[in-house]
Amino acid sequence: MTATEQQHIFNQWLGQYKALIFKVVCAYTTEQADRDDLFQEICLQLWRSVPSFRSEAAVSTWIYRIAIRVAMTWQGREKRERERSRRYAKGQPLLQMPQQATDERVAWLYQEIQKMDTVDRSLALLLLDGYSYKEMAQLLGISESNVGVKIFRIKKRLTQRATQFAKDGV
Amino acid sequence: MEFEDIQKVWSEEKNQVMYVFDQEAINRMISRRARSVRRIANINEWGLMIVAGLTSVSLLIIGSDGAYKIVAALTMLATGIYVWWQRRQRLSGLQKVASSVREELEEGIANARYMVRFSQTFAYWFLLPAAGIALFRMSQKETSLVKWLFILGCFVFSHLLVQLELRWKHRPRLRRLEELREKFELS
Repeated sequence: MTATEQQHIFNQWLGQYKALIFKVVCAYTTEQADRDDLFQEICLQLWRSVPSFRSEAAVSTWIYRIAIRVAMTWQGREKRERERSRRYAKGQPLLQMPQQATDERVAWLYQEIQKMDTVDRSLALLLLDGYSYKEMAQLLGISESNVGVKIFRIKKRLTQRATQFAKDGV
Repeated sequence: MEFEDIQKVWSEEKNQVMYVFDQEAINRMISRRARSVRRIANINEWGLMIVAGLTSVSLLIIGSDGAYKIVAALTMLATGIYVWWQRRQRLSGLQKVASSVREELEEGIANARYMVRFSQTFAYWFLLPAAGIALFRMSQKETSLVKWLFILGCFVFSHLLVQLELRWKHRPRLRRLEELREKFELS
């Protein structure tokens, strides 16, 4: 694969699946600077993964897998490494917030996901995006029964908190 | 509120643009970072191989007596070969495709363990033999105290550097990855 082909495919993926990447970024970060950093890291790993992509998997699943893996391991990165990657962006944030306000229910949902542990966050994202237990198990590499137990807890937790959120009149 | 209602809220979000970004800036960043990582790895590996090879050849050409120069040259050559083998492993690792996040995590753990072991044993497979040869050689000749201190200091300094890296980089990384694996296993 030539560098131009790699770049072309990467640009296509990024254009088509950016929402998916943003979701992972928002689920794993709280600060804008961290979002920018994680977004950069995911983009870099995604670009690197292009030559390894085989059409056996759906592109969205492939991107999800890479984004989740990067986000999970990124969390523990050292500060100096983050500083280094920020330097590459030369102080200009890559991600800009849109003008329109975000739905507060969605903002609440992200806050709840951010409170979960690293693995549960990825499961919550996949669950909300309609992935089956089997697909989640394959993507993460854990058993379906393990997925089932975790999903049961995630659903219970989210519905309980959502009820409280609704009661508070927001 | 039911879970289906939450999912509905989430699905509506799909149609909203959360962020905007400059595609050109992303491409520039990727190109810069990829080049930088490749350059650093190449400089380190080729640098070590060239230094080891040149030292080995120089020792054979200008070394003083037979036994010493052959042992020292072979040690340096072995170091060069070891770096070359490491480079091959690294490059072939780049081609591997893991089928799940967990599999990639296992690979990460294996790499981190390797680095921990590498640093832990560095003194045994490199520092002690190299120091042994150098110090033995120095003891055979009249060597000034300053030179003794300098050579010993170099070995101690190398050992400390590797230990620092082990303590602040490799061990914490391994611990983080193993903790993450535990989270996968917990149900």
